[in-house]
Amino acid sequence: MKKYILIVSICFYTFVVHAKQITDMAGRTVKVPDHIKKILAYDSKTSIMMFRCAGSKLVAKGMLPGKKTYSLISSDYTKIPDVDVKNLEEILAIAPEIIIIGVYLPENLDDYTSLQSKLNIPVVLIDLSIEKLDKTYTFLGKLLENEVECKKYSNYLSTIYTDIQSLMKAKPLSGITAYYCLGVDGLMTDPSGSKHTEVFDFLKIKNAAKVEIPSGGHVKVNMEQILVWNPDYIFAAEFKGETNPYKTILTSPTWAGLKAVKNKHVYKIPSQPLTWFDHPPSINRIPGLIWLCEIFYKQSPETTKAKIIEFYKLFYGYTLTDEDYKQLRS
Amino acid sequence: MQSTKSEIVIIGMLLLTSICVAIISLHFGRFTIAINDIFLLLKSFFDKNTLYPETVKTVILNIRLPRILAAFLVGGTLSLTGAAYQGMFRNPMVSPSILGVSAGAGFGAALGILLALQGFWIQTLSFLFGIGAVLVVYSLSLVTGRKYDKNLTLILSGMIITAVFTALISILKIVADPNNTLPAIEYWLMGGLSGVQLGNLQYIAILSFAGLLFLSLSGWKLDILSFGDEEAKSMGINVRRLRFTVIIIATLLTASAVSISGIIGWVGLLVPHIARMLIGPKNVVLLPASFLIGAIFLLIVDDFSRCISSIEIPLGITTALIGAPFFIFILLKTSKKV
Repeated sequence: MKKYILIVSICFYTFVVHAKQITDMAGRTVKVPDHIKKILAYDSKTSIMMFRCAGSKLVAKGMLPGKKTYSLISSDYTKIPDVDVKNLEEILAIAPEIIIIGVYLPENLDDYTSLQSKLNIPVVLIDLSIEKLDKTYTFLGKLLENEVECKKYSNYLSTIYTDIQSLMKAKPLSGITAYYCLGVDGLMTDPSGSKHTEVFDFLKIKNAAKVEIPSGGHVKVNMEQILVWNPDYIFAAEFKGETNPYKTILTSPTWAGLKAVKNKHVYKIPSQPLTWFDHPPSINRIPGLIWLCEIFYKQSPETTKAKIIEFYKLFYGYTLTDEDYKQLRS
Repeated sequence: MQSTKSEIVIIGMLLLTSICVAIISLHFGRFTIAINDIFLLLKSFFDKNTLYPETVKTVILNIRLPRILAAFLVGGTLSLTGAAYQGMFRNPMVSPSILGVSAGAGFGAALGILLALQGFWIQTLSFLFGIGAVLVVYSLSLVTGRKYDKNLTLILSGMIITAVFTALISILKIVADPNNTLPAIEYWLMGGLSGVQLGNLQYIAILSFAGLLFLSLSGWKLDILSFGDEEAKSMGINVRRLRFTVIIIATLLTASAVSISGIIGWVGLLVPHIARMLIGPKNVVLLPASFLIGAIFLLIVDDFSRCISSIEIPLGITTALIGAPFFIFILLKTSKKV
């Protein structure tokens, strides 16, 4: 009965409240309230992107199981209640006016349309493609009537993009390959073309892992294959706190023959509050881009540090101390 | 007497084949190595001055050799325990995982991965949970099985505990981080030998050879057991003790195999049948034959797993896809003979 009343009241609400028609970033026409006050960010990649500019309008964030503790981020983010979006009734119980979902365009949009019609709550799609994040903030600014704040974010990102372009032009890479290392033993990876290694693609760094079967996500490979690929650089992702294949790679004789290990080009990917590469592939990739510019394009360490500190302040609402920065980069 | 001689010949041939397959497998892999370099490496053991590329040593000794030994031991062990169980339960559809060892081991490993433990501890947890699951099954069958057929209650208890552990694995999958932990658990459950290290193999090596020896020597008891519990008792065999010993040994062996390879189905069910077609039902020879055929089978299947694509294909997939047609072929061939 309670739920019934709830559904009726939501329908009533959507009809009575003055609505405007907008076109979301995927080109869908969606009817949204004139002044949006209650937003659900559908997943962590969306919520991390917009918690700063949405402020108190962001009433809940969809979460996948797993990581629950974050550091180096404003407590405003952790305080936003989590909701299990797989259970549609939980979404209805929160009664958001709109649901914002981050996607990578072009993408099949059927699921979002069916979600919208099932819930009868407008679903607005924003583009999380790595090269368009500044435009996403411009869009969010208009949607949330917070253009001044969002302008800061899009300006920061535009500057980053321009800087990267000029760095890349100044010193183009010649065939340098990098391997993205996942899992306890480092034998999982994301091959070229995966969403999770777009930081490489964006900076024109060749992903060493080339596989015959195109895959969107993680694949398992064997040691011999890595020896065949023989990457110049290795980036190891932290596997839940203590276990990072980084140590194994540097000490095990099996990995010792690789170019990356011989030249000491093995790096631990910073992971707080979210990893700089992916997981989720969202705004958290920007510090990754800045960091890789230092490694591959001779950006000075001071510039890197300044840019990253500014990023954390703007997008995570957290002022990095020297100690924090050292810890991150250790 | 004639038959015993031919049986020994068959076992000898199998032993020779398995060693040959293992040596040939050393040559297969994604990294191309000239045969010449392998010989140079072999020569260097006797002549310290021999020069060979450093990567050849890494690939052959650190990557391929542990994997080949592991495939040999795991394939052999799973087939040996499958054959012993099929004999003991007098049921050809029984596999080594029937008493819940794989499900228990799977849960242990998934728990280890979820807790982000190091490889050795994941293996240990998996081993302990595998044994734990079977102990629960055995005690359950003792409590419930007073009035009923012992084999039936054991198998039923096994199914119950397997269901429970499968559900528990699913719970761990729900709470696992889908970005990193979940794929690691999934890959473990699909089986594979890519993470094997030489240092992890000594226990399973000792266990499997001791188990092979013991089970083969008690093979004649299992033969008598095939006539039924009562008949075996009347011939002076302590059926309860025999059953308990076989279960304990098979569990130790399977748990140690599963803990290094993940869950590999099929081998333990299929290979004993092939062995039986080849050498007959006498357990004294059937058990070692199963061990060797299982070793050969898994060596070949693992060669496919690591060579066919730049992505590692989990053994759970290749054993079924290569095993099924192979089994059909054997069935067709033997049915023609009759």
